[in-house]
Amino acid sequence: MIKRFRHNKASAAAFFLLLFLILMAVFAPSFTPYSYRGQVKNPDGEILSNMPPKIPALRFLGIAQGTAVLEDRQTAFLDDPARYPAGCILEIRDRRVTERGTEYCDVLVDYYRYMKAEEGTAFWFGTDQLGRDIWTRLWRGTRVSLVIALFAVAIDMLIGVSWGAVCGYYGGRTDLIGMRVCEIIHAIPNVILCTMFILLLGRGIGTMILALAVRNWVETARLARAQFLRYKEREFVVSARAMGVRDRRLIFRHILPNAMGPLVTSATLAVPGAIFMESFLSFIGLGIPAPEPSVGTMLSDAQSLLQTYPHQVMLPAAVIALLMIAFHLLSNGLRDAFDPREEKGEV
Amino acid sequence: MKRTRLLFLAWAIVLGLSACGKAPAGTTAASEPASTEAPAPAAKHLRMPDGECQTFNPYLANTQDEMMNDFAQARLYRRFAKEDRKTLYMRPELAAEEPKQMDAEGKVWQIRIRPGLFFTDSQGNLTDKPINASVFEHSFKMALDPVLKQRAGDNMSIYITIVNAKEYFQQTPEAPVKWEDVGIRALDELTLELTLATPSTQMNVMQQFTGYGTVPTDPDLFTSLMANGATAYGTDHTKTLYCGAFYVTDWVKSSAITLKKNPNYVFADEIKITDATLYYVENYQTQLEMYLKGDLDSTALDAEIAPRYAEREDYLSYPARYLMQIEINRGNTKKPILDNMNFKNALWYAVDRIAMAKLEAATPANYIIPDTSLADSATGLLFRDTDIAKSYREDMTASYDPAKAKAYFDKAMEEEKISGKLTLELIISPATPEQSLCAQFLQQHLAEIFGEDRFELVIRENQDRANLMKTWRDDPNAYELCLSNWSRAVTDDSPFNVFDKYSEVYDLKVNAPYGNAFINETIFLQTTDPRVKTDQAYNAELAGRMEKEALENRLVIPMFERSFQYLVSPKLILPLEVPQPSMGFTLRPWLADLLP
Repeated sequence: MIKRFRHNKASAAAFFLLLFLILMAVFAPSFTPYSYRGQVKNPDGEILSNMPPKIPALRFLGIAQGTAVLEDRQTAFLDDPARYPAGCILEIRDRRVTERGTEYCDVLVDYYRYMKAEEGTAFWFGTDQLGRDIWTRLWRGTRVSLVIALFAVAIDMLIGVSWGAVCGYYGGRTDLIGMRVCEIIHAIPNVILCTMFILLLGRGIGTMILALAVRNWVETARLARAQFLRYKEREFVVSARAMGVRDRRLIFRHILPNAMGPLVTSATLAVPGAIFMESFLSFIGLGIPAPEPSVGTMLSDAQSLLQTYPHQVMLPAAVIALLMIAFHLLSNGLRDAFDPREEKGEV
Repeated sequence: MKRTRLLFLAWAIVLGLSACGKAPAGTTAASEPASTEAPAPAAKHLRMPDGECQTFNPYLANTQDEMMNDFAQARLYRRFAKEDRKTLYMRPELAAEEPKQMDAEGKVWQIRIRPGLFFTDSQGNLTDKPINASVFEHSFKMALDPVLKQRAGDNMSIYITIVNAKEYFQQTPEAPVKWEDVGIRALDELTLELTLATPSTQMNVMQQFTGYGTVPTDPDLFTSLMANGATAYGTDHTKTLYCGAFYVTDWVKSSAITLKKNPNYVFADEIKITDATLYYVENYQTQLEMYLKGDLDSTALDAEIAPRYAEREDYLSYPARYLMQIEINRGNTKKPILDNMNFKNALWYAVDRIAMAKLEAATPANYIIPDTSLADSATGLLFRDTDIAKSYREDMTASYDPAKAKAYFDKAMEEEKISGKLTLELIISPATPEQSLCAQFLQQHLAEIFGEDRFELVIRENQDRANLMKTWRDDPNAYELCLSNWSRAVTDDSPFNVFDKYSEVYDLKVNAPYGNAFINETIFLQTTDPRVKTDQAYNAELAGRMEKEALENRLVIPMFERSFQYLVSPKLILPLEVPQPSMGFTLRPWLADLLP
């Protein structure tokens, strides 16, 4: 199976990408001296809000240098040290005079000097409105989003597989009642159910996990039931039953291991769905409460700044996109790897 | 041959085009008489961004609907710009003249309505619906209707106290009040008489009728649209009649309001704009983009991006309009520390007002009466420049002292015997992004000062924040701390009126258990002591005393005064060069001119 998985290059790449993202989520916040909630100030006590990215190591590439273009500045004020601290102006561009005779220009500044940040200060991904380091918040937010998604999917699997196994294995009235319950839950739109759950229990990581799991387990239950229906009449199960093997052992030792392939694939596919849902709920203001970040809350906070400080939106959006792509490609690879027909060339 | 054909074709085209165009001068027309009419003035189409207009019913309207009301509805009196574009002056609009004092005390006033006024409909036609004294009486009756319970009812006694107006509006089945007992009466077709509970000045009487809650509505239309304790008046542009400078020709809800100049308006000759469209553009960024592309004639700027445009010549900063403050529910029985003076002092000294103001492009405030409030409207003396205001005002830098704040906090925790962590909940409005920013700033800032192991601020968004705060009488534990951005537009000429909110005299306005006896008693003077409304110096003196009391007792923790920033097209000539107090919330674009 591992061999089959390794042959799928896109999935293998996705696996390493995911591994990288998970490692970053775990360790990256500790790479900088800033905390996810700390509001960084300059020596005058002013908050360093909306600082541009600055990565000294990439200076030679000419990117993330901590500079910004200040548009429509009056040239008459350029010599005013209260407005432009010494050495902050790097370039004066596009001088122009308006009809009223005022001379304007655009000024390229070293924004860290302009904001009087302490020497040596560098925010790799910049700061948000409250002067919080976006690098730290982004990776911590990724961690939070991943934890929420993984726990939600774990709960979803636990309930779904158990429910589906019981329905599929015992069949009859148990199956009938069990599946009707599933249908009732499934009939409620996901967003409405999540919203009601969050409004009832209040916002928080635990609530978010439960809100995401409360409906999604139904899909897993249906899949598990189908797998159990498929396997319960197979020869190896019938013969095990004839030898007096008890139901619990039949379910967990004989049928479930055979049904795991589609279930694992389904779980892997459910993770990006949960991340997306968490981001969506955060975006509409139902996410985890401040100051804890998640990718969705970061997107929500920065949405009004898309045109002014686009990197504040682009970075969390990129992380979400990478997570989604990685999980999808991984699940594709897992599906193929679990399917023995792939190797035999069956369709 | 080919060449001939081409020449013929060219000749035919030239002939055809010349036939479509205007005839050259002098060739017109021997058959047509020369026109003696002056050329029609060029259309001046104003395009403004606006909040989402909810209703055209002036009695239900709020500040979101102010611009539309400014454009389309006239009042008895309104402030217009003087020719020098530097100041505003009060001018009778639907009234024929200033109100006349009919008794020695100043309790009975008569307002004469302009003769021959009629409403205009949404087609621009002059209707046969008159605007006279009995229409005004009916309009005020509707505004104060105890069943409809409209917003305007609250504001009918701000500058003057009309006999039984508040009692009529707030009446209960147990204590009914008849309309006949209210001091508003149409004496004849053009004379409206007001009987006041306390003496007033002429200026205050006029000021009372400048608000959009006092515009006239047609009695027949208003009542015909009433059903089940509500009215459908103003729910559509065709279900409204107009008496202002413009009438509404189209209203696409949540999108745009289209207006045309009203030729029947009393000062129609002075209105230079011919058409206007008020666009509902929720996002400031979108507004800005539209403005920069030339699709709008002005745009409001978000606090976060305003500083980037501060050096542009089309940048305009509006005087501060509201105060952001922390409301403390001192009556909360589960958190008695909220009534602990040391805790309130701790909050006072822990708030870094200067840093917060910078975040919000605002002015730091360690006071309650706004910067724009006038102590003397004749001389333009601002309240903050008076001796009494200077006597107790703390230096802004001294109001932020983390060491002092921590010491007060520790003392409060000791007094309340709290050994662990104090967790308090701060309620904010989800609809106000600046509240969220402010709350998150406080969350971290207060924890850093008081100690993260000793204090935690939990932020909770509540759509119904304002009403939740008012429930403290029934449920003292309804909330703990709350952010409020209290607008003081009505207090520009009367700093005294700021404290209505902090007293328990006006039930409807109280949204926290302030419980200050001095303010309660002093506020009550406006119904018993005529000098409050006739003597501006006395008004300011009392306001100063109340502010001192409120600040010393930390009734609220003021943080900053939010001002508004705009970019205004150089083509748009606003009625005032620089916005002034008493302008309301809009730039009065309906009085503006638009250069070609």
